[in-house]
Amino acid sequence: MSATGIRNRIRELRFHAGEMTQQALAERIGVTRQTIIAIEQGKYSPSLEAAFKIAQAFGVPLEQVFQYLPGPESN
Amino acid sequence: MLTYTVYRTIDTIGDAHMDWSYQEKSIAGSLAATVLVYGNYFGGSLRQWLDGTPEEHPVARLLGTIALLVTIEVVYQIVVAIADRPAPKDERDRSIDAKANRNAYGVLVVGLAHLIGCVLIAEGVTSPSWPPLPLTPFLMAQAALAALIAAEVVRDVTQLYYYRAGL
Repeated sequence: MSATGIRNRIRELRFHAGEMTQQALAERIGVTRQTIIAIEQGKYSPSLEAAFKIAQAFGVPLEQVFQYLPGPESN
Repeated sequence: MLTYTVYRTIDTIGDAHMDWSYQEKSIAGSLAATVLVYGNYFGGSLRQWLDGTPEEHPVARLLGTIALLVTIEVVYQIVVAIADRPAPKDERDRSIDAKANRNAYGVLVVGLAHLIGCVLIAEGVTSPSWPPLPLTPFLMAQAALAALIAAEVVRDVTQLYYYRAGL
């Protein structure tokens, strides 16, 4: 479970994209490699713009990259 | 599936020991230099104050400390920039900056409010019967500097915390 309540499949999608490196993805999105690592680990929720760019980089809809799992406090 | 699991395991091990970004190295060096140089300066001032011996050249010592810190910072930042290609700040860096600046601003306000309170007491504004504070203009400048340094340290520590722990 991520720290932000948002789960993502970036690691899996990178694998299916020919083991795309974190650096390559970072350059396509316009962020640092450390930010990609933080997103993958669920330590940082990207902006909507960055999220769309990530989905676009893999050629999939946004909801296939990110899933929101609301915590008990949001019920 | 097996290949993916192997790749993911390697990544997990590598990411756990995530190398420091240019921003983190820059902040950590700045923090270390600030703590060491100003720690030495204020430590020296405190020792002399406790001994009851007045400083011989307090302004020169303060200016020398500031010059030393600026020199260390410039040299360190050049070394880091050569060793690690400077990367422009991205959205995560800016979010962390905002949180760190908020915390630093709080510390600065508390420090300066405390200083203003001390000045009012020293001037006998609050209560003329209170014992006078030995608040010289130079001591006030040192107190204001201490508030600035404390705010700077809090900003750097906050940034390093969010870079490591996540935002």
